[in-house]
Amino acid sequence: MDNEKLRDLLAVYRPGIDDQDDQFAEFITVLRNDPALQLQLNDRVARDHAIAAKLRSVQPPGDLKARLLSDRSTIDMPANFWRPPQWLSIAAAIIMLGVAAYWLSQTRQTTFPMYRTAMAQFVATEYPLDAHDHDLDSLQQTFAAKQWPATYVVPAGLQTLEVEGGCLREWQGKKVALLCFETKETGDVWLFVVDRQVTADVPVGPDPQIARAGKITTASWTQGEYTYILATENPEVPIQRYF
Amino acid sequence: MNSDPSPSFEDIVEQYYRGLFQFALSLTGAEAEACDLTQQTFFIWAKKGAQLREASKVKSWLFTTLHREFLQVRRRQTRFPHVEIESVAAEIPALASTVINALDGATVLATLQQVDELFQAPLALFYLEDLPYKDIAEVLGVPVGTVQSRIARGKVQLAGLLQTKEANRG
Repeated sequence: MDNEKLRDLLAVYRPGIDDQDDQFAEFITVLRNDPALQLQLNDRVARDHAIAAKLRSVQPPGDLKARLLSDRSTIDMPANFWRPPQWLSIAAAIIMLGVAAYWLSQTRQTTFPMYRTAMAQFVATEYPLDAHDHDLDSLQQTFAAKQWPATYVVPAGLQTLEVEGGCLREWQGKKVALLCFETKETGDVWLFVVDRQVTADVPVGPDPQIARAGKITTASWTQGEYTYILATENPEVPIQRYF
Repeated sequence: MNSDPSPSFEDIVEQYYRGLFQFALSLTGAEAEACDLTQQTFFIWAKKGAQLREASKVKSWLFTTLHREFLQVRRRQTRFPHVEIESVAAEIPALASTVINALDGATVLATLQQVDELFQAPLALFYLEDLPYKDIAEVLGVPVGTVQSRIARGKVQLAGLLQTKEANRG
């Protein structure tokens, strides 16, 4: 091993972490027989540990953990369903879910924040468009043909963006029309339209109420028979510009 | 009976949220943005984590997701060139641990923000998490050689900046 290679590995080798990494095998052998190299390594590791300790000393805000756990309570899907699928456990799970779903349908109070969070989560990950259409009128006709919310009003600012298409969603048995917009400048912007009866606590009136759901910024309002959520992922563009 | 129950969402939050927040903070330099990234990562975990069959992969999955979300937010569409590890170690300025110890965490974090953005994520993972290089490579989506090269080069910059900071203090 030449000196250059030795210096390179000396810069990145971490005792205890990289010992089983094959690329360091020869270096470790050399190290064992070279006290000067060991001193250099010790010096470097001490510096690394000092920097790491400083970076680790910066703690998250005291309420972050509570916020994360609180977010979880509004997410419907189970996170710990890891075990390999076995017919017995799956069957049992299905029965339990059926019972739970019935029980929840009888007792669970759905809220507008739950709806808003579910919609934000949907667009935060990849999803297919049910209709690719760059024309707002044509898209509206598609929704109408499917008997989905279709007599909505798109805010004036949003009409200046190019529409990509739409999705037909359902939440708690309610039909949700999703219009997807995108520009290079603003990134993705979405408009959700649902019957104003979706929950009992929908925003009252046409004044948008701003709220965050993860990285998604939302503005919600009610107008006519529908409740709307306008959502954007670009924090640098004020959401008010879409109205 | 399975004696190895899958960790709950609460367990995973408890175990990883600090590290994820610190990683996010080292990328963004802003607490609010780091909180958002951490929240978004756990949102996605709650929705998609069930697809992960190996519990041992949870940590790298979470860090990979957070890094992807960061890149998405930053609109980093261009791919960085992949380079193999090059000789850079000799350039690292001599910097005593006592100099570093004299600085506070916020100062070191702010200094990390001044390092070339390309090197920030590899350096943060190097310092904050004891991940094997192959896992860091997976998180960042680049080859192991590139990771090591970026860490080595990032260290050169960071040491130089810390040295300057200390000199200005004195």
